[in-house]
Order: sequence, then structure tokens, then C-alpha cells
Amino acid sequence: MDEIKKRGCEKMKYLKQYWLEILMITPLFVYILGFTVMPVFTNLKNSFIDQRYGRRYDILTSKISDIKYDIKNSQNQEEITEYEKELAIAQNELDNLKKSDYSGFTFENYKKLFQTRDFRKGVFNTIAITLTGLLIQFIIAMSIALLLTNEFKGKGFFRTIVLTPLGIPTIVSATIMTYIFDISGYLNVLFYKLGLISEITPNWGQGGWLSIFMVVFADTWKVLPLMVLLFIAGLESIPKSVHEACSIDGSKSWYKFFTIILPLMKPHITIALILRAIDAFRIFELPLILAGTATTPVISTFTYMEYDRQNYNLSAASGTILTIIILIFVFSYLYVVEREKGEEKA
Amino acid sequence: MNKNLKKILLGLSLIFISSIIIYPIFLMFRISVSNPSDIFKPFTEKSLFFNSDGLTMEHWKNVYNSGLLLPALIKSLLVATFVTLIAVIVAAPAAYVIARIGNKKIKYLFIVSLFISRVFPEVAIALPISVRFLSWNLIDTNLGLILAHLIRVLPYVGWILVGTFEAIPKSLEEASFVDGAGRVKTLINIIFPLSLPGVSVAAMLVWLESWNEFTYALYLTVTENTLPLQTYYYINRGGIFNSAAYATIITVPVIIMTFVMQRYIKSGMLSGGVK
Amino acid sequence: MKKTFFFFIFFIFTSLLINGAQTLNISASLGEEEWKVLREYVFPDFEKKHDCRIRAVNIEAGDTLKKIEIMHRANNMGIDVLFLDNMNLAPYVEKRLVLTLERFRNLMDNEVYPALVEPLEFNDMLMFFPGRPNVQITYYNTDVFDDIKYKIPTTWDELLKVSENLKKDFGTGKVAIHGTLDANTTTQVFEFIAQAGGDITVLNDEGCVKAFEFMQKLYKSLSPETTRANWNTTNRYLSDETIYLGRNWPFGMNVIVDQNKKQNISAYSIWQGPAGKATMIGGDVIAITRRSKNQELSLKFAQYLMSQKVQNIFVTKLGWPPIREDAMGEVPDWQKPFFEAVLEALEYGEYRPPIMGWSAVDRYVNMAFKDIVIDGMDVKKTLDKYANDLQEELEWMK
Repeated sequence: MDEIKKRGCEKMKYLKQYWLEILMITPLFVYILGFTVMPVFTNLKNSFIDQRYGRRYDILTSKISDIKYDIKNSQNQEEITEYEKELAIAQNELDNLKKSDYSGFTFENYKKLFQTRDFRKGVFNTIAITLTGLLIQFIIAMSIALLLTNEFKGKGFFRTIVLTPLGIPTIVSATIMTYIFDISGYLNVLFYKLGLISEITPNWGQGGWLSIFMVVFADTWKVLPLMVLLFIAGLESIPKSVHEACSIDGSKSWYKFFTIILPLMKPHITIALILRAIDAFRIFELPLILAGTATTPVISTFTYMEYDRQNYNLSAASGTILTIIILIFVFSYLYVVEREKGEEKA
Repeated sequence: MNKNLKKILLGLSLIFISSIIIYPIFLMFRISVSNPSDIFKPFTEKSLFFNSDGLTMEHWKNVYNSGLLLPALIKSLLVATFVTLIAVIVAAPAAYVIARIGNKKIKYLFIVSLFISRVFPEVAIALPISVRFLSWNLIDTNLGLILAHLIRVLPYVGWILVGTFEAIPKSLEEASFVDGAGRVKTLINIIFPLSLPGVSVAAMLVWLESWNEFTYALYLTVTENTLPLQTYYYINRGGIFNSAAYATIITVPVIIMTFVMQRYIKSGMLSGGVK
Repeated sequence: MKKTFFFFIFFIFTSLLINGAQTLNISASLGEEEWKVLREYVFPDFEKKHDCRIRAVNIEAGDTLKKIEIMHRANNMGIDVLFLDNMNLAPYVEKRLVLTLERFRNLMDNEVYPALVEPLEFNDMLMFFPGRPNVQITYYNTDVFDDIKYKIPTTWDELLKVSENLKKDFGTGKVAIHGTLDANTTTQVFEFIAQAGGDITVLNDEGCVKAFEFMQKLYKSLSPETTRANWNTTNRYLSDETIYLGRNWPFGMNVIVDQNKKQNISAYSIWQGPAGKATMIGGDVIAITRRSKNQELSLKFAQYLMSQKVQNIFVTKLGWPPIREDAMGEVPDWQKPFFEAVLEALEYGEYRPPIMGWSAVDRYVNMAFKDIVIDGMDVKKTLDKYANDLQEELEWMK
């Protein structure tokens, strides 16, 4: 008894001491989790209900509650009898449905998804776009960040230019990219003027790796600013003495870069890559508008199209698969990085 | 390496990168002042930069005369500004607390949980949230939009501010305690001024994110569109010239904000407490 | 001070009362020019006659279902009358979002074409009123199709030949169909199947097989932009001459000729398949939301929209075909060729069946299109497989 009392007292003391902290932290978390936790769990639940059964079930249950609402609020007796007839029919159907074989927890939706050729293609495209994108964005962002560590006139101006794409809505940037990547688009105009291609221009949206690169390039244009920002922050946090040591011995600067600067920037690189990965896996407008789902499906477009067809269970399953992929990536990356850190310490 | 050669290479690569980044924006602006004949020329006659048929202000006139521009502009401005204010007020205290937590694992946990909402595809989440907002009578109001944007934006703000507060050395706080100031006084007199650059950067990022937000605006507005929604309307119907004008209008504050913001960015802000 | 305060409150109160005349909320999916015509010519008379204010909002066709559903579930219906794209009406019936109009049939007078009304009956009850019929027309480039080197195709064989010859001469396909694997594609497939005498809900009958075989052959010479060609981008491809022939909705004339100032694009109705000419009737229907707070006024407005006066305005000011014979009229000169093409195409128009499971049909048709037409898989085997799955799903959706 005394132990419990003691613990209770300690907890009270804990609360008393940190009341200010708790007050400060609560609004943020309550707000975010309060709104998003329920929908996430509802979706998870939905994904395990067979699509055909789930759709029928949802329609019947909402129909029933809907009819009840109408009965309560109707003034017209004729209407009420109509509604009550409807209600009886719907209730009957629902009872029959519940007894059917398809109710209950099932992996059927997931099975169906993986049996669809287009979905498997979508998974491949999503992963390919993300990983290729991450690699290319990493290299380019790092290069630009390195360039920007040098002092030169107009540095602020250049930094502004690099950061501007961040502020453009995705639909706008996607549309402009179509003017550039169309068969008669400006990229092909450039190549034609440079004499690299004839009038028969390449079709960037035809699918396969060509489209993957097109999407990666268009995406990189928009997201580069954030990564550059992160890397600049990282580079600037390294003391100047290290930078100077690197730039003195000319030929050895690459070596110094890889063995000293890169490891020092590890935390920043980790954050940049993880943040980017979370958004990159969910890429949606660009493959839809630039390439079209016929040639380059991705998981997000799949989720959306099934949702548009009122196949909520299938859509939820598709969304859950995407979430799992993201989580696998994030945790395996963190595991690899942390393990190396551990080895270094040893 | 020869110093001059290095300078030249540096300059060239900067110009190359800048042109790639600027071209799409330039294209957008160019379309908004182009005659249709220039944009729809046969492939072999198309030009990357120049309009042989001259420029025109007709599209801008149309956009202005439609009467839809000003309401959308005002709505977007209002929502973005309020979202920024509220986001900073809600996230800053929480970020301060997280930054001062000693236990690294708990810190990670807090930061990671902020991003849970971003891991699930938006389509499935936006709808239930919109239904909830609507049952609170928030449809077609600025308040509803502000609340919805906050959901999207708070994780980023929290994360940047954690890094900002971490960069402020604990020793300063402790010195202040030693001098007899209470916790709240320390916050106001010491932490607050030092965190201002980081808060400004976070605020501007939030402002930009809200200015461009699209999905929730689509569900939560009926009569008045935001700027991105209005642009979507024209894009969807092949109104290439109107949407180009709108897109230009959307971009102008972006450029201004970015120019101001990039001066304040310092190293500590963006580490998110992972050091 | 107190006096002015109360007077102020009184003033606000009375002005609210005066402006508290009923507001009728309407939604439609229209272009800016079309809204202008409605606001100038259609709304004022009704507002005056019924002492109300019409608040009209634009909701794109693809977003309407979600928005109405959100409002319905939150018990906060902000729209009374929907001028609704008829692409997929079944969910509105299924989710009980619209009022049953069976009791109000008398609002349609005898002049309305009965053929337009039949497909609006779900489970033998009238759920929608006809608003305006619409049909795709075949746009073509008059510089290329000059009747000397190239003639516009009027049969499947001619279409195939033209497409192949264009590809040979220009090095790349110059004809496109809507291949974006969504409702656009379903429309084109429906038309091909109807031209071959098939039934799209069966999916593997003789007509369907013929249609898919033809599309598979045709695809090889089509423009690569086919996979991105929908009702919006097709206009752009015609304008920048990436394609010289393509089907699209009549509003394309507003974009291509009026906005993009192209003088060399015209249109005709449709080619014929083994079973003759056939097109798909789209367009808008009138629906009244179930939870509308202005039911009486909404019904009056629906009747107004179907009246001879308003339908005539639709014809003369918007180039829309009317739902009734006595509303026909003259359109502006530049619209004449397109309008004639529309009227002729409507003569061969067929409706999609008003079944509950249309979204399942949409899904399997697109999967079949992808596998057969784009990826070249075996026609009969693929269609049999999908037809089987479709029938099973349709059972669930009755």
C-alpha cells in the first residue's frame, strides 16, 4: 500500500513540477493526433474488410440511419410510409448480408491488389521514382549547397532563386512541366534546336525508365530547395577550421570531403532523406498529369482512383501498403545509420 | 587549381543551375502575356524564349475583369497569415519543451509522432476530417480552412522550432535562473529574442505551405475559391492563359518571402534536434 | 449613444429581414463564359418572379459527389439544385443524396423528348430531370483533311487506314482516342462497342470482341499522346497540332477556336462501325438534394430550367442542344459547323444503362483496355476473364 501511495505522490510531484511544460506541449499533440488518428485507424480497419461486402455494408448502414433521420424529420404522412417501407427492405438486406460468408477480417483486398498487374507496376514505379529521386536529389542538393558555401557577390540573390520552386503549388508546377515535357513541348524544342533530335520527338511519357526519369526531374525541380536548405544548414554547422583544412590541399579535397565533411553531416542527411522519402513515396500529381496512369501508375494514383470509384476498402488497402512501404524504408534506414554509429563508437 | 579557373567554373555552374530553375517560372509568366498564335505554333517554329507575334495584356485584363481574382487573393492571404500566427503560437511552446528533454529516445518519439499524419495518403484522411468540420458548420469559412491547414503544417513548424531551441545553449537559461528570474521571465527575456530568426524561418515556410495548399481547400470551400483552387479550375478546363496569369500571381509573394527568409536561415534551425 | 445603438441594431435587423428573401443554391460544372450567360439571361427572371436570390457555385464534375456527400453526412446541405454531369449517377441514388422525383413527373411538359427521360429512372423511379444532352464530336484539322490527300473517315476501315497513313507520312501517330484509363476511356470504349452492336455490361459478347479487336489494331498507329488525352488535354493537342483528328465534347470549340484562335479546326459527327453509327449521350441532368431546405423552390427552378424559354437560351447563347423540340434556334455563325455535328451525333446517341454497378463496369473496361489495347494481350481470353469478374461484382451491387 505504501509503495503505491509513494508512487502516487511522486506522480503528483512530477505533474506539479512540470505543469508548465505539459501545458505547453498539449495543444500541439492533441490537435494533430486528435484529427488524424481516427481516420488512419478507420482506414486500417476498412482495408481488412472484403471490398464487395464492405461496400454493400456501408451503403446499407448509412441508408438505414439516413432513412431514420428522414422519418423523424418528415411532415408528410405519405412520405413517412414510403420511408418505412424502404427501411424494412434495407434492414432485411443488412441482416442477410451479415450472415454471408464474406463478412469479417480478410486479406482479400490485399490479395486482389497484388494480383492486379497495374498495381504491381505501380509499386515498382513508386519505389523506383523515390529511390532514384533521392539519389539524384541528394547529389544535386549537396553540390549546390557546397557551391553556396563559397562567398561571392549575389549569394543572396542566387539563394532566392534556388528556393523559389518551393513556393509553387504542385498543380501549377505539374502543368508547367507538361508544357515542357509534351511531345511538342519545350524540352523537345530545345533538343531539336540543338540538332539532337529530328521532328519525330521522343515521347517522355511512354512509361518505363524514361517516364520515371521525367517524373524524377520534374519532382526534383520542386523539392530541391528544401534539401539544399538542409544541407546548407549542415555545412554551416561545421566549424570553419575544417573547411579551411579541406580547401588547402587541392588534390586531397575530395578525400577530405568524403571522410570528414560527409560523416559530420550525417544527422542532417538523415533528416533530409527521411523527410523527402515520406513525401516522395506519396507522389501523386506528377505521374498523373505528366505521364498518365496508363503508362506510369503509382500507388497514390491507384489509391485515389479506387476512392473515386467508391471502392473505399480497396483504396484503404492500397493506402496501407504505401504506409507500410514508407515505414519499412524509414526504419531500415535508421537501423543502418544507427548501427554504423554504434560501430564507430566502439 | 588555378583560382581564376575555379571562379569561372563556379560562375558557369551557377548560371546553368539558375537557368534550369528559372525557366519554368519564366515560361509561366511568358504564357500569361503571349498571344495564342505564339503558343500553338507548329513544333518546328516554336521558340524557347521569344514571342514573334508580340505580347498582350489581354489575359491579365480578362483575369481582372472576371471579378474572381480579388476574393481569391484576399482569402488566400487571410488564411495563410492566420495559419502562420496560430501555428507558431501552438507549436513554439511545445517545441521548446521537446528541445529541453534529456532522454533522446523520448525526443525521437515525440518528433516521429508529429509526422504520423503525413505518412498516410491524403485522400483517405481529408474526407473524414472534412465531414467533421462540416458538422461543426465550418464549411466555406476561413476558419475551417485555417484549422485544416494547421493539421498539415504543425509537424513542420514543430520540427524546425525544436532545432531552433536546441541551438540556444542551456547555459544561458541557467545563468538567468541563477540571477533569480523565474521560468516564465526567462522565456520572455532570453529565449524569445534568441529564437526569433528560427521562428521567422518557420513562419515563412508555414505561410508558403498554406498559400499553396489545395486538397482541403477543395473540400472545405463552396462559393469562394482560394488562389490555387481558382488556378486548378482554369487548368482543368484548358484555360492555359488564365491559369498562367494566376500562377504568376501566386508566385510573386513567394519570391518576395523567399528573398527575405533566406537571410535568416542559420545552421541550428534545421537540425530538428538530431545532433 | 443608446438611441443610435438601438437604431443601428434595428437597421441591421430589418435589412437582414429584407435580404432574408429565400436563397436558392445551385451548383454546376461550367466554364466562365457559360456562367456569364446563365447569370445574365437565365437567373434574373426567376429571381424576380419568385422573389428569391440565386447563389450559384461552380463544382467540377469529378468533385461534386464527394462534396455533396460530405455535406449530406454532416447534415449541412448547402446546395439545393444540382446541374449534374451524368457520367455516373448511380452513387447519388445509392447514397440517397437526391430526392426521388417520381411524384413530380408532371413538372416535365409533353414537349420534352421521352427518350431523354427513360435513362433517368433507377429501380423504376425517376431520380433526375433532363437538363441538357451532350455528345462528343470528331474534331479534325482542315489543313490536313483537305479532301484531296486525306478524307475524314466515315467507317472503321477508313479510320484505320487514315490513322496508319498519317503515321507513315508524319512519322508518328496523328490520331488520338481518350486512353487515360478513367471515365474518358470508358466513354470511347462504350462508343466503339455500341458501333459493333455489343453490350458493355456483358463485356465479352460478339460486339465487344469486335470492338476490342479493332481498338487493338488501331492503337498501333495512334498518337502516343493517347494515354494522356482526356476531355481537357485533347483540346491542347488539337491546338498545337500534335494530333489532327480526335473526338471530344463540344465545349472544345470554345477552347480551340475562341480562346486559342485556331481557324483550321472543324468537326463532324461520327464514323460507323459494323452495326452502324453510335455515340454516347452525356450531358447534364437536374437533381434536387434530399436534404435541401428549399424543396418547393428547387422544384420550381427545375421546371424553369426545362421550360421552352430557358432551353432556347441554351441553344442560341451557349450552343447546347435542347431537351425539347420547340426550343430549337439559331447559333452564332462560327459555332454552326460544330452545332450541326452535335445534332447529327445525337441522332445516333445511346445511353449508358442506369445500373447501380456502373463504377464496376468502369473499372473492368479500363483494365481490359489496358491489357488488350495498350499491352496487346489476347482479346477473347482477357475479355472472358474480366467479364466473369464483372458479373460477379455486379451481383453485389444490385
